[in-house]
Amino acid sequence: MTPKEQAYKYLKKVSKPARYTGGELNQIIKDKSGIDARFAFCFPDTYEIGMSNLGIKILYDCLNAEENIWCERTYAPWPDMGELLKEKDIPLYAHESGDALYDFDFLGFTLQYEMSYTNVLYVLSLAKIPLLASERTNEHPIVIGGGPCSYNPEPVADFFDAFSIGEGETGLVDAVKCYINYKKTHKDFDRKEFLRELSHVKGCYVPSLYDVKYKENGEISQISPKYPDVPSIVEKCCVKDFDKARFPAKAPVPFTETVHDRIMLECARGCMRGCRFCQAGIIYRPYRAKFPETLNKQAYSLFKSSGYEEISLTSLSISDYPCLMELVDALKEWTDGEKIGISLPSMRIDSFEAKIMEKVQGVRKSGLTFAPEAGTQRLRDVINKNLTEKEILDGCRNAFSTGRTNVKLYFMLGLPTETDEDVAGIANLGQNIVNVYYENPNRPKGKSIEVTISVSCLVPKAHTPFQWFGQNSLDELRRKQMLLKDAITTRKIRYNWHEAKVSRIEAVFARGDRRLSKVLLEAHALGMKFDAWDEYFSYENWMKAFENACIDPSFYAERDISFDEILPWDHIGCGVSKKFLIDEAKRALSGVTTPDCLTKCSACGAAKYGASLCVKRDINPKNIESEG
Amino acid sequence: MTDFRIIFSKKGSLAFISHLDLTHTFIRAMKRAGIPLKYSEGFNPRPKMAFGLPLSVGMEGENEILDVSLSKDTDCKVLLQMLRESLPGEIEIKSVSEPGQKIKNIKYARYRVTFDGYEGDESVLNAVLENPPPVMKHSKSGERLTDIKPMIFSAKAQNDGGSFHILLTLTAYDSMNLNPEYVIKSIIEAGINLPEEYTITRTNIIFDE
Ligand code: SF4
Repeated sequence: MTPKEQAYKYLKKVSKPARYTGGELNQIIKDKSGIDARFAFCFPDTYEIGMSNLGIKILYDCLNAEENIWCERTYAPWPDMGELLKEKDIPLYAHESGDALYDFDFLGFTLQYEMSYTNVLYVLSLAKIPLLASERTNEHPIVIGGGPCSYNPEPVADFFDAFSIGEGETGLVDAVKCYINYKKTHKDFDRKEFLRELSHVKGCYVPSLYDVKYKENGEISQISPKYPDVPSIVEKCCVKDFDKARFPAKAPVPFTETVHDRIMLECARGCMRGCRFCQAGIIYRPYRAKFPETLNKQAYSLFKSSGYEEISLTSLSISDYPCLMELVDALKEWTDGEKIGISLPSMRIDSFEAKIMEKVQGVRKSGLTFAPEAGTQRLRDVINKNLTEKEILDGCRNAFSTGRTNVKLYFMLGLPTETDEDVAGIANLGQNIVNVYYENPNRPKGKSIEVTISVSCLVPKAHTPFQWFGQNSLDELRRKQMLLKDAITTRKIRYNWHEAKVSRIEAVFARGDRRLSKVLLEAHALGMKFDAWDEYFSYENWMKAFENACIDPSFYAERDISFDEILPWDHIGCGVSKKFLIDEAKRALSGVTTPDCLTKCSACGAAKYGASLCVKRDINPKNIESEG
Repeated sequence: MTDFRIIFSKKGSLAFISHLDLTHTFIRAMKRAGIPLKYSEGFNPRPKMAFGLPLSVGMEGENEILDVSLSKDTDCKVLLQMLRESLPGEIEIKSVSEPGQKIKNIKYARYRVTFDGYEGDESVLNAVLENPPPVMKHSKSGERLTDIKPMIFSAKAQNDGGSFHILLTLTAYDSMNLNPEYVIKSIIEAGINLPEEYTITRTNIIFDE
């Protein structure tokens, strides 16, 4: 009996048992006899969140496209199920075959956010796999990580045998092929020898093959490969021809409701704008777009294989997609008849957008959202957020004239150079939007406006121009949160703020180094898990974990780092040069903006990937094609 | 024909999905197959479909009922074929026919409760089932001690050598809808030590004659 079959008997007792059964439409079952490598892909959070992740769908498809590789899925079981598995001594299993994870060749984790790190350890322990890479034997799976957080993998380096940095469509498949090849050419599997070979594969980082030395003051003095054949900088993998990149025409369709229960159509990858706090804006460079014809075909095949009732057009900034109108028109030719809605998250606001919104609105009316991120123009220039107050107010005026009464605004506190005036500026902007509403003589009678202001705290991220800036202290962040609260005087504004404690822990790990593995081990020993969930996050427990590990969190979260210091992630190549990031940091301090990639190339270093944006200075796939 | 009754079974991992999830699963399967669903009028049009009885999470069903209306005249056999091709394997379509009796005329449901490897005494259990003790039961007016006897049309325990079954026919309309879990609760209430693990299968749904 497989562990899944063993668990079946008890599933009635846990909440949402459909999370643990597999069996979804389009799941992939293969005959084990023809398989050279079995890969279990874990999203270290709930099934509902994991099943919504586009990256996993893509990689599941890419790996399974190889005849001799079988990729399956697994997720972090909710604590009630975790308890049950422990109590009944059932090892965590993969959903498709139901086999124990420890029987796999690979266990892959996608690292999407720092607060999932405790869940990586939780999953490993439920899977009965040693937490530390150094304690695994030839019999254990190769534990490999990927996803945005792997651009600074150091805080979790001790738990992983390897990381695949960058876009997995190419990188991860190559890593598994390297394994198959190794097994075919060697009589006995030697873990160490294989990992050494793996380090030669593009994008593969094997942390155990690097030495990290520290100065007395805690800074890093040196990061160096242990052997000459191990690369001193691991460069990310990047898909050059994004239009032709493999895309999952069929992906498992959950029975039970998930977070994004819809078709996600990835129109473009990367972003041209260069907000200085944004990690995605750097690591996914350069911007690449797909042909509208390609997307329309892909959307249709996704619909035919899923039956979903909504298509979401995704990209970091969808309004930058050059053929948006054309794409929406093409989609609507068949989606209207099938009663399928089209949604456009992450829209910017201008007249063009209003026209598009009108088109898709018939099916689904979404609210008006802006992300000015900072309250004053001065501070928006510092963070390079190219959005003026006039644009925001014009956008609102436009929307109010069509009868909308809800506006949502996103901001960040704790940005570099931020003053109390900047904080108060958030309240002013909100008030100005309220005023615009009442200027409209045709506003709907008896309806009131509602402006929602959501405020998070800046978490300086690796590979961004803000990586050198320390986070505000907890007290300072709280002071600013309250300052803003007092500055809001109208009841038309709803004010939400994020718990600063969570942001502080995120900041520690976002800029952390290898020594933090100890903290995670302590956290795991304290039973910590699901830290991305309010009901499980405990700041007190985190403080205990830091204390037990004798590590000061403020060293990581609050310290300003000088430009010449060695960064814990300096040996990971994100495609953008450090010089560009330093220039950007300096421009931020002097309040100078940097134009987007289309207006002017700033020679960030990503041109080496040969994207048409950088090379031909054009992003419209049509024009590029006609040039040949 | 545009109105149909679909009889299907729901097994394995599908037993663990909720009623709402099952609805989505059918809608998506029909959309994939290009089955021309009929939609309700109004601002938020929904497909016209109705299940016989909702099935609790964790229960398997052998002859579940779903009525659907289509916007185009369709042949039963064609619809059957389209559904079979589009649905996941653990939902099996048993038949597609004219609707027949109205769903609101459903009166009883039959269940089979299976205890693997249980060596209970049939006669003792049957005696309890004759006169089941009252149990705390949820209803619209909250939880209260309820006599479930009037809701048990028939009940029988039988040992098939290796697996032990309790076969139940329970009322299944309005406030007289009885979940078999209450019968098990009642047996335990009577002081009988039933195993913790068991499976429940709804074998049939019965209309008022
Ligand atoms: S090389 Fe130039 S155009 Fe290309 S991503 Fe960098 S800044 Fe943008």
